[in-house]
Amino acid sequence: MNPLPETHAPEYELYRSIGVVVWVSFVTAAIATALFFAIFDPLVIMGQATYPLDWSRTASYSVGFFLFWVLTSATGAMVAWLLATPIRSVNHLRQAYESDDDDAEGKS
Amino acid sequence: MSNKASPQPIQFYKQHEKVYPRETKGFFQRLRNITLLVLLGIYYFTPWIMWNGRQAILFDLPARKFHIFGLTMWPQDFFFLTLLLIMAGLSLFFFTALAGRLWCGYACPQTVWTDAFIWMERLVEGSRAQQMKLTKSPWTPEKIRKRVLKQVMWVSFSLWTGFTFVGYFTPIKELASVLWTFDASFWQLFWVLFYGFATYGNAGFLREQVCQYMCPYARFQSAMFDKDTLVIAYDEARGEPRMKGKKRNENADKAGDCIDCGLCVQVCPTGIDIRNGLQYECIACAACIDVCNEVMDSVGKPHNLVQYTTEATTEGRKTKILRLRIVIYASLLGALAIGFLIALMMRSSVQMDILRDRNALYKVISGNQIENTYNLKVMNKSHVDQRYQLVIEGLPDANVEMVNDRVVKAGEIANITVQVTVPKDKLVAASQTVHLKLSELEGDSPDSITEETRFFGPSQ
Repeated sequence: MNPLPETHAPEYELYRSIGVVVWVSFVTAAIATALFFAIFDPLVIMGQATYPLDWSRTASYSVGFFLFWVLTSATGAMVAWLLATPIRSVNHLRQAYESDDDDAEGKS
Repeated sequence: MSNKASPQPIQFYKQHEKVYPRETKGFFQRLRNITLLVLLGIYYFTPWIMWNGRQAILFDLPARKFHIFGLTMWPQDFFFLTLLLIMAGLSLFFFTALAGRLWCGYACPQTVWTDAFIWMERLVEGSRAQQMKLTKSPWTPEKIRKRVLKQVMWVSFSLWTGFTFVGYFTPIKELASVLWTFDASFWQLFWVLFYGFATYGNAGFLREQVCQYMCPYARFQSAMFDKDTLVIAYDEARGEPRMKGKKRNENADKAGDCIDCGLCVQVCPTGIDIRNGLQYECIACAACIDVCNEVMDSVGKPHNLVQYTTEATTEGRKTKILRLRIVIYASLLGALAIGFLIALMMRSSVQMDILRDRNALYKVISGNQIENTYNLKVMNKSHVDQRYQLVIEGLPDANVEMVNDRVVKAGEIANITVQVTVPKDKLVAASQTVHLKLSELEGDSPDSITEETRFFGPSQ
């Protein structure tokens, strides 16, 4: 039996999804970081922060980038997972099939 | 017999197979090699260029300023970067509509670095056939030696790439010396390793999978393609029916030009068969064109069984280069480029915003003098500390006094209060338009800026 040429093993599909989510969110996080820090100077934000932080600009840019990346990745992963989840629950489908069967029996 | 005793499990799924692209030589591969060398050269060499005793290209993030040769850009100039990014995006659209995936085949960092990694792999492990044999062979000392050597080359190249990347943001000579003496800061070291790791992962490990599964551009390119776009295609009418060997000898009159040697598949870095038509996996590297032309030479048939062509040509029409979308992309791009250059030339190294004093429109001083107060927000975008001179235009006999006149440091924003007084009889209206001209006093070529505001007085 020949496998379909486009069908990959489930674990490979999972790696692929992770790759897509991580890479696309990397790009959006990079853009967000550039926009954010072009407008706000991290040292000024530090001065106003609720919790006093003593970070250099380099450290703030880096932490900021990874915060954005975590945020975009989490959103991407959640969206990918929800889109891949069936709309109807299995239970609901089973009930629908069972009621069809009942109708058929009643008629015969 | 042992095979019968333990049946192999049936594979329902395709396992991912490593692509071993066969080396090609030919016109397009020479062109690509030159492009790749130039691009890599630019990347690795640029941070070492000096300009007036300073690194010529330095995106000094810790100091929040970008040095590009003689130009210093501040966060306030972010507008220019945005324009540049929009222009880059538009160029991608323009070139894709015109000539297909030139970007993928010649200029994309993914392709450039993957090719560099493949080149090192070939250097150590040999040709495609030798590489495949080596993979199957047991772990002999020879195999261990080759694999270790390859990894050492890959890892050092990746680390050098990461070091160069950080060298765009930290003075590279300083970075080299602190790395050499193990004095680098945590984040410097982190980004060298992180970027090196990303290079290794993308170019050494993932390779064509980045283009196939992760790149959005590969997927939406069809929106930019039309029938007049340059693509790489197999001439089906000429090539089919493909035949080889004995069958070909027996049906010499019916056979197409394709001898079904499979070399076009072997050279493909993404592992596809160009004879199946245009596919999104194709990165337009033109390796199949070069190898097929070689084969056509050896069997005494004309070139270009696989070639750069357009769908229009295949259908027997003439290819139209000046289409509506090309004209639109080109004129947008041209307008933006001109606008960018003009804005850059007119870019003043001083920026001023005028806020009128909110407490009173005007004050009367010593009976006949009218005074207006302005708060100036002055941004020094030059790269030296500045002193400024302020004059008012459109108001004769006015006296201008900068209340807290001081030196404004390079890159600093200062609030300067200005009081303008004028004799009452010199005013022509209760409210009149005036211009404040702020001039730099320091530097080689002092710049100035003029902004409009209003001067108020009692009603006439």
